[in-house]
Formats: sequence, structure tokens, C-alpha cells
Amino acid sequence: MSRNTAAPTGRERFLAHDEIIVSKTDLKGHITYANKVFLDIADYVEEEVLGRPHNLIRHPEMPRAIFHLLWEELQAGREIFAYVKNMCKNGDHYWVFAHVTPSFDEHGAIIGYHSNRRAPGRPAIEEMERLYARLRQAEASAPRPKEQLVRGRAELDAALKEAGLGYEPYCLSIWQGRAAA
Amino acid sequence: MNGILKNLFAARPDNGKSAEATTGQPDTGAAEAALAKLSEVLAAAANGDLEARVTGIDEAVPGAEAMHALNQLLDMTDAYVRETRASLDAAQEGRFHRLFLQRGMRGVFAQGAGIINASIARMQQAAAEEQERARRQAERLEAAKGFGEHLDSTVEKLSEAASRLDELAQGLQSRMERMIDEGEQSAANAREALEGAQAVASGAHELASSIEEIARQAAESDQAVRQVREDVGNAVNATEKL
Repeated sequence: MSRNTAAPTGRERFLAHDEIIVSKTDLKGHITYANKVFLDIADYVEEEVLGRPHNLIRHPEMPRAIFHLLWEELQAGREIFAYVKNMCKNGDHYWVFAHVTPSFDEHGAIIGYHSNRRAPGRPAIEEMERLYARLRQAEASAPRPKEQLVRGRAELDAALKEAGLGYEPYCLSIWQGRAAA
Repeated sequence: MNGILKNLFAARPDNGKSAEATTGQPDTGAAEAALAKLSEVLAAAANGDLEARVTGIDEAVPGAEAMHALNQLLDMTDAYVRETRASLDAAQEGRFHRLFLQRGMRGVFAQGAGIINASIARMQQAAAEEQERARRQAERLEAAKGFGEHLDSTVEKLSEAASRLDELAQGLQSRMERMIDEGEQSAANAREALEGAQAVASGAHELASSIEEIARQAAESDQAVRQVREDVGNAVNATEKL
């Protein structure tokens, strides 16, 4: 079974300020490495995660549009940032500021994906909670997954236009502590 | 795919069960395997391959702590390399907002991150200054062009006025010659004619001076325009090199 079927508890856990969660996946998104920080905060042991799809830790309240954008950028060979709400084994959650990059071999071919995830500050989390609620609402307004995705992405584009920033500058400006527009 | 699997370097050769639990004797086989695994990952990393990690670490085997520490070191080194490449690549493309993410970096890694971000900030400033210089040069060139065009039209008008004045002077001279030929000795006429001729001569002289002055200024501004064009050319070249 790939997805964690635990119900969200609403209890928040916190990544330490100077720790980094590291995980690596193969091209299909199956976990090939998860560091100790990953395992500790999510309450898994290594055997439980190796070989499993990375969406094992996906929280149901995350808008699909964000993951869609993530995959799009990665498969184009580009790095991407995202604020992500992850779910622990028991349904607790924790927020991260994720930086995901493709890994290349010596010939320049993509051989997998790598993510470093850091602890975001409270203002960043609050802003992303608001944005993601908005994206979820847009996605929920459509009956079918394909249309949900289109609406989610469109809503994200609209929000970025209001902020007057592209996606990456928007994420990084929040990370660097710019006051919300 | 095989490349990824070969990097999974499981530390346990026997599917996770330490022999210590069953026989009560330290399992030298497991310890040796663990050491071999450690060597393999270290050798790969020393060779510049930061993909390898130790997985399947058996906490009971001596060296487990070393393996965790190795993974931590590789994670930080790998993050340092990724951040360095990404932030400097972005800076080269003029995307100065993409700084090195320092959080999680420790000791000299954190120091290096700070130095890189300071460099990126300086690159950003230099790019902004160069842009401003190029903009000001372009403005000066536009102004000089405008002045030059205005000057051209003024010179043209003066040229026409000089021609007319020349015609007038010639006409007056002809009249004077006719008057002398016809022997008309009217003092008033002669005085009038002389004053007219003097006025024309003086006017022509002034006009000649003005034209000379304008020609001098035009030559100067032409030199100035050439200089500005050269400066702008240099600035554009410098900007393209950024």
C-alpha cells in the first residue's frame, strides 16, 4: 500500500531550526534514501520507507497543483522550491521549505531526485496556509482530477500575478522574510 | 535504474538479522561487511561522487555511529555543492534573488555560504551600476543627436539668409554703379546708398562671424557626438560580457 491512510490529527511537529531533512528518490519517485532527520520527525524506520513512493508523506490538505508544478520543473531538469505540509506516520504534520533538484550522472542524464528540506518560520507557514486553502478551494470546485489540476494551477498563477512575482521569487522572498504583499 | 540500486549499498548482508541476537557471539561477518560498505561509500565520495549513502545500518554492529555520521557529512557536503552551483548559475543569468540557502549549514560550510552570498550581492550591484551607466550614455547620445539636428537646420537657415544678403548686396552695388554711370550726383541719394551698402557689409560681416562660430560649435559637437558614440559602444560591449 503506497499511501499513508492515517487521518490527519491536526497536531503540528517542528523541524529544528538548523536541521535538514534529506531524501532521494529514483526516477519514478520511489525513496532510495531518507536521512535520520526524515525518519525521526515522520516516525518511520528505514525499512518502512525505502522503495516506497515519496507521496507516502503527502498530507491530504496539500493542493495538487503544487506537486504538479514540482514534477513539471524537475522533469525539465530544473530545481524547484515549495512550501510543503507533510504527514507523519500517525497523521501529525510538519511544514518544510523544500528545495528539490534532479541528480545527474557524468553524461548529464537525470538519474534521480534529491530534496533538502528546511524549517520555515511562522509567518511563512501562515501565508502558505492561506494560499493553499485558496488553491484547494479552486481544485475542489471541479468534478474531475484533470480539471481540478487546471483550476489549481490557474489559481496559483492568479495569486502570483497579484503578488507581482514569479513562483520562485515569491517563495524565496517569503523565505527571506519579506512582509506579505 | 541500476545506477541507483548499486548506490543503495545495504550494510547488512543477511537481511537485517544480526547474528549477535541468535548466537550471542559478535558477528564478525556483519562487522566486516559493514566496514566494507563504509569503505565503498567513502571511496565514491572521495572520487567526487556524492550520490552514495549508507543504508540499512544495523545499530548493533560496531561502526553504526560512524555510518550515520558519514551520511550526515555527505548530506551537508552535497547540499553545499548543490547550493553553490544553483546560486552562482542563477547569478550568472542575472537572477540575483536566488541566494545560497544558508540554514542547516554549519561551521566552514556556513562561512562559505556567507562569502558566496556577499559575492552575489556585489555582482548584483555591479550589474545595476553598469546598466545605469549604459542608460546615461544612451541619453547623452540622444541629446547630442537632437542638438546636432537643430544645429543643421539653423545653419541651413543662416545659409539661405546669407545668400539673400549676398543678392541684396550685389543688387545695391549694381544700382550704385548705374547711378555713377548716369552721373546722378544727388548727395542724398549717394549718402543713402552708402549707408545701405555699409549696413549690408556690416550685416554680411556679422553673418559671416555667426556662421563661423556655428561651424566651430558644430565641429566641436560633432567631436562630442563621436566621443559619446564611442563611450556607448564600450558600455554595450561591457554589458554583453556580464
